[in-house]
Amino acid sequence: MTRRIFLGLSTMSVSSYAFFSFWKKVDEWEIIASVQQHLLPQSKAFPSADDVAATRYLKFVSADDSFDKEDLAFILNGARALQERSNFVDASPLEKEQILQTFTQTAFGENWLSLLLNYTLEALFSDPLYGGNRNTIGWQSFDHIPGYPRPQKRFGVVDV
Amino acid sequence: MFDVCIVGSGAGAGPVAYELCKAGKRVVILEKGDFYKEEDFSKDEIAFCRRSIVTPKLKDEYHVIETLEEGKWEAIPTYKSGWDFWNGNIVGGSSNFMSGFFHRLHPKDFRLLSEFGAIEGANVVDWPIGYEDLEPYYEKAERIIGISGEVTPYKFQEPRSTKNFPYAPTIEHPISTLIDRSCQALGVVAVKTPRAILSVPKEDRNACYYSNYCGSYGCSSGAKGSSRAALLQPALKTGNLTIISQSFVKALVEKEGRVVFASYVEKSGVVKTVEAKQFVLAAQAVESCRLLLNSKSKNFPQGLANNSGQVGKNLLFSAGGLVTGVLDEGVMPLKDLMTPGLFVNRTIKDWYFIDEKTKGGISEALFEHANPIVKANKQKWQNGKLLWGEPLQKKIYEKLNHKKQLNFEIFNDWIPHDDCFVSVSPSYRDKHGVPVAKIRAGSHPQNEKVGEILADKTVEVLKKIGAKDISTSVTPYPPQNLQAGGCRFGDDPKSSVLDAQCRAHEVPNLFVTDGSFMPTGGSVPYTWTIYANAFRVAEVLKKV
Repeated sequence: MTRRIFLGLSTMSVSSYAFFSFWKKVDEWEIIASVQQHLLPQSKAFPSADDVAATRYLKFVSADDSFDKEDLAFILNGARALQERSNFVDASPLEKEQILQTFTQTAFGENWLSLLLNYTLEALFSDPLYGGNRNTIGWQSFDHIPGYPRPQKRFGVVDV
Repeated sequence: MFDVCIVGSGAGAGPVAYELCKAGKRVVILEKGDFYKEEDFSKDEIAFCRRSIVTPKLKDEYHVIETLEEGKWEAIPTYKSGWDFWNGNIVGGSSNFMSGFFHRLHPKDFRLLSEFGAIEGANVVDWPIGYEDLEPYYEKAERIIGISGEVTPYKFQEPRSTKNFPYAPTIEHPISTLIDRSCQALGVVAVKTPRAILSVPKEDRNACYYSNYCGSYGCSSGAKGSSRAALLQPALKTGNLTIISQSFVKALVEKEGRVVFASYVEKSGVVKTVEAKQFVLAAQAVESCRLLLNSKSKNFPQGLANNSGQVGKNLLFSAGGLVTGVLDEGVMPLKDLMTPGLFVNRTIKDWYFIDEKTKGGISEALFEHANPIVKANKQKWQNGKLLWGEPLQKKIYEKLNHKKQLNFEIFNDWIPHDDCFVSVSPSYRDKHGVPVAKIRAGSHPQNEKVGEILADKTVEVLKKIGAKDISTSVTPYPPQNLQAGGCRFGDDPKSSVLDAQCRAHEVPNLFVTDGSFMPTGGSVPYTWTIYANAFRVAEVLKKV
């Protein structure tokens, strides 16, 4: 089954999760930030999702015309589904780990987290021009040498 | 009125524009994409590798791909599957984004039917020209495009009119010596790969600066021999070339058997026309076929130059696949292994002919692209489950700093047959209302059979090198970036679209100079042959 078909199923999944909605309403971006911080935690050697401004990055790039709007809808739907089911935002780190392990046992949850990881890793290694990789901390902490020239304009726009 | 109007601006277009502008002809190019110059290219992984910046949005403009699934043909539009068949729609086309490993065809590739006989269920034919007809233009491409390399003698060496390449090879990574040693131990020759990348400056183009981000990226120094850098920019300097970018050609309009104008849509949606004495189609195989099939008229009810019904037929991709292995400090000190930017420049061509009855192919060595996002993203899977947190961070660090993936790309003939062709259907239209190309992408069984033989041989080389986690992937699915065929050239107007000079049998002022002319593809990437053939056709066009 292709990812596109999963995307189609995402609406169904959200409505079924809504049954479990006992928790306070939380902004989707707050949920996303909380998940990203768990995916890329602060450690001795590596920066966290917050350090690289992963959520700011995702907000920024997803507003651009080049971003797949189905992906954006899927990310937001998935975040709501996760929170409504588990109150992820208020959970302890140990609980968060358990929640994500359970969530990714479904195809929907696994696809959602895989996509969010994709954009979180983009934030870690993309040019700071896009709002992530703050002060090139992503590149530096992974001893990565970027390619030159670095972009001056976002999304390869040319003057015609 | 222009002397010549060229549709498309890639490898099939550049040589024609270059030669004719230098000869004083007035040439116009219609290109659907933007005009990027050297200064517009950067090593921005987001723009050039993660988003569709240099290709159309699939919801606006797409293809329909038909594949054989459990015995039935299944047609899926690419906006649903995400399987993108666009390859760099900007001035210079996909040649801006190539890795530039260049190989000539072998003389036997020009007479595959005579040399190896018919293959059941296939439409293998000989070409109407021989290697000797194209050789001077392979040589011309070496000089003008700027191909660097050094001739390595091997058992199937194709004849050359010059002793060696006009440009010295690019600087090589230490792995190249290890590949040589490993191949030697197995009794195989690894030839130095000719590359359309300048090792020294040439006219207005700078030498390669080993940026480490080459394939999939536009070149910021002009070293890569794209149609734009090597041909169109010099052609513009003559004052005879007009490039109209952001202009999609909907139809070539014919009157009394000759093309009189091209009808194109600007980005704003305004439809305009260009008149010329001669028309050259070079929009890459699939799109060139689509344009002809969509250019219907009273004289050509099945599409321009298609009263034979041959337009779109015998489409070619490249068969083969990928063999990969992971290298670590077990093969050489990390500081050597992790050296960025230098080229591998090795190809195994000893298996080009497997035996008297079987045509083989090549195995091309190159490192996995440097892209950190792609590499990091691959690390998120562990034993089929998602990985995150510190274990993922550590795994990414290890991948970026302690390991290097060596790939061997296998190229063998994509056998032409009845189930690989381009058509158009009124049911599928793009944002302009123009029917899109529907590609039946059937693979002949021979494709995988030969691919597997080459992959098995390549595995032995990777083992000898000391690679770990060796894996092979040979599939029946076509690589969308390696397109040819669909407008075969030949002597018989009933079974071919173009004559030996790549002029349409039925339309005397229409030429096709991208890879569409090829009746069989050979077992190497097509770009050098497309360049050479376009230089050859330019000689014809100079005289009309």
